[in-house]
Amino acid sequence: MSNAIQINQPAPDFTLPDFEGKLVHLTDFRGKKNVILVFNRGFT
Amino acid sequence: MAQLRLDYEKFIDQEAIILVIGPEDQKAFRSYWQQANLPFRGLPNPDHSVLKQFGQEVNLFKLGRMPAQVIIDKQGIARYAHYGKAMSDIPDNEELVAILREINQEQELIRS
Repeated sequence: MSNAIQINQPAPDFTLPDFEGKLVHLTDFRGKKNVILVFNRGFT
Repeated sequence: MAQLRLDYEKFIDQEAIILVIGPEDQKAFRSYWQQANLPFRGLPNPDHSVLKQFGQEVNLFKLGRMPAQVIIDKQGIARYAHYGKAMSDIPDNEELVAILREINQEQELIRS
């Protein structure tokens, strides 16, 4: 778990397109929403 | 994801948005979302950059990526992380909702 993130520290920012091509920045939700990131184990 | 969907409204009530990030490509995501009719935002990450950034574990013996969940508050602070040790090692929805409730109550206190 060498890259596990640190609790109570700023989460690493990222930008990714969703599957419809719309860009999502983690910072889009700053001051608006709590974010639950779910790291998928695969669509099986 | 099926588990999270069961209590989707509870997560919305706690002012949370659910982003699902996985190694599949855009096409695989789209077809899965269409089939399963999921209410979450799906973010394909075929180059694994964000999966690595957040330390999602890969277990070569179990042939796959281990599930992980991270909660980030409205200030962008990581408040919770669960790194699964097995495919089925996923926190209960109730646990996640309780953490969100705590975060929101704390924010209320700071504001008041």
